Amino acid sequence: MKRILFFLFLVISAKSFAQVPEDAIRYSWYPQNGTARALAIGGTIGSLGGDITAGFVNPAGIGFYKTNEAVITPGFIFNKLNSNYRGTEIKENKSSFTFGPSGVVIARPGRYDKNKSNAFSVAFTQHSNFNNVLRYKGLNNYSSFSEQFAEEFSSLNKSIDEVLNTNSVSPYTSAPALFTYLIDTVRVNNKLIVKAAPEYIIDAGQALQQEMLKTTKGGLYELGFTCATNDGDKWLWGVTLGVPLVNYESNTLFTEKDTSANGANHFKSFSFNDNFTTKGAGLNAKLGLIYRPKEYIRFGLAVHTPSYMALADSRESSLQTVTENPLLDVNTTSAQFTNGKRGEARYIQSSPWRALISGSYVFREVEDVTKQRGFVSADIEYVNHRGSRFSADNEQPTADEKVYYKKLNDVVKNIYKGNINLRLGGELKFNTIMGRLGFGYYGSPYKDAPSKANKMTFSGGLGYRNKGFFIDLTYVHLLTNDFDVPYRLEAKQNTYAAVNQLQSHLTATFGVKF
Amino acid sequence: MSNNVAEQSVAIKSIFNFQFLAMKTKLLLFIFSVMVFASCSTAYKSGQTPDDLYYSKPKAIETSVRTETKDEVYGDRQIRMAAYDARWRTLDDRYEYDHRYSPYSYGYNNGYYYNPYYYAYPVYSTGIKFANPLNTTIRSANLNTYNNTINTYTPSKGSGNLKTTTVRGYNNRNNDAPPNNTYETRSYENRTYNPPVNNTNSSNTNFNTNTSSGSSIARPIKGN
Repeated sequence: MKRILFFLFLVISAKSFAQVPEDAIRYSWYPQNGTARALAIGGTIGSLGGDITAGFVNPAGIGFYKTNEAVITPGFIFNKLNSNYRGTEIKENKSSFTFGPSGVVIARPGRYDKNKSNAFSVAFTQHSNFNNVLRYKGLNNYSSFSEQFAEEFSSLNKSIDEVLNTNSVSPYTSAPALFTYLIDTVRVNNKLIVKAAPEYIIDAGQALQQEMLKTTKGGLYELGFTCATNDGDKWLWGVTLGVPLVNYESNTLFTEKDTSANGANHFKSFSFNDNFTTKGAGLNAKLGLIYRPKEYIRFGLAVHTPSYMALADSRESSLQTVTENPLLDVNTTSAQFTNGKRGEARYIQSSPWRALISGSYVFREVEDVTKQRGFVSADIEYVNHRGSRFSADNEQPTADEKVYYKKLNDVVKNIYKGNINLRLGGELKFNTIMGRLGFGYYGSPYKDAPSKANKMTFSGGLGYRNKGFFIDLTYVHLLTNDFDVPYRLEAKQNTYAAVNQLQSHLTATFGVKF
Repeated sequence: MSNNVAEQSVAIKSIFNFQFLAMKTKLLLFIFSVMVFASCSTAYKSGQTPDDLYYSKPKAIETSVRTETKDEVYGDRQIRMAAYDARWRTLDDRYEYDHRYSPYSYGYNNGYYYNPYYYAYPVYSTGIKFANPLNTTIRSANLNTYNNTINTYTPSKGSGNLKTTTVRGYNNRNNDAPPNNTYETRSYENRTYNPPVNNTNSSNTNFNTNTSSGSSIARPIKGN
């Protein structure tokens, strides 16, 4: 598998040595996406089937199809975000387009056995929408963002000249910080140490004004090819071969300012801009089974393998620092330390495996749609968030790479945990009109979170089906409680912003039977 | 000042126009998709839309009388004749030894360049030269900062600093109290500057002793 992913790059292998633990849950902690019908019932499609979403949840559900279908699912997200950073609250808005499963299902009766049928689907969906703006600010008299650069440079055991190099070992952080004098060497108690200019403010018992503006774009997408078999409407099983596609862009602007009136305390302000993109593709498989012991009752079981993704990062940073005593205003970009071009790194990341059990009660499973009455359904899903893994993209990683990735994987195991996701939903059907309600709860993936972390969805929708067409409209109210750590320090406790996000999703699905 | 305001206004307008265009494109794409869907013909125009989620029956497959085409008739006849007499087989080059299937014959001009027996070098060259190496050191984190323990240092007492380990918490509140001789507690023990031997460069001084493949960059001169 690793060899296949390696060739996905189709380029000459380069040394890779990057990634941070936060990358792990970006591709695993998100609410279930789906068609408008699946979203309206909270995403509980695990045992129901008969919806193209099933290909991404429980592929066996595609086996309920005995007719052909084509669907598209456009959507729109209104995003409101509240953050609280060291006692200061801020609100931010951001809206974006999204889409759910769109594709085609082809069903065929069994060639030799009339009780059997097969169905195939090809669908494309967006699992997670990364379009977002996170902003927070506040006073801080405890730590400075720049201390991470000082700690990093100290631990490198390199001279200033070695770091200030056209092909630097730390071109995005320590090199710009040294170049602009945000960090420097000073003598304390006859010992030469590395100190950040803002630390003079903290040492004097004064506060820094900090502000974070993080803009992210892109999404996690998947192209799914599903094959399912229905054996007498009793046993159904299916397989999906998924091709996850990652397109993520992050732009972080962090500023710090001296709040004192002292014009000679060594520091006035700095502004650090960090831009990186992650792009890549991978492979995964989903296996599913649905058992119908009796008419009206369905049980589902599905297992999703990890997604093995070959990813490539591209990064550039810039820093402007104004120091006092002496007054100096210096700015630089990382390109100065990366041979004049953006740095790139390639690596393999695997997302966690997940398993799902589900059950449904369907009122009147008959062909005549005028007699179909509705259903209730529930899914319970386990996601092993601590199972994300990183590795080098080349066949023979260096000793440094091996050590770093082993330590990184250990950190992922230590700070994340498996979580349980619950989904409930139901539909009432009145001939051609349908009404739906749903609820979803997604537990915390963190072992030790400083604030509440979970996601909850409340959804409702309407559907209309007649004359070979159908249209579904859904509203999803998504509440996310999470936190953001702007920087981490080895010698101090970490500061964080508590983040509460409210997303309003409007989704429509248009479908045709043929 | 007014120029700045005007420039900002133009910048904001251009950003707005770009976003508007991007949204407009997506909207047009969406409307186009809906129109394509609306124009689709369906086999269920006059009846109910089947709902596979509940239960549906397979659509009846249309049966039609299959008529043989002229080519099929000719092909069958040729097979029968070939079975009867080997000479008929040469009418079709499927049964002939064809130079096109020879492994020694590659493409045009008898494939001189494509035949490894004659030309043992890659035919195509990417032309990529690696004179300016790509920097690949990105986004690594100090993984010690994720540990649950934190090393702290007590003030100097007697023989020196005492290292203690505590469980790491989170700090999200500012300390209102005045500094408590604090910065005695900040001995910067974990911040020592440890350049390689024979290189104790401090600020404002640059030595050309770097060990990486690039060249050294001088910092701006810091006055006093």
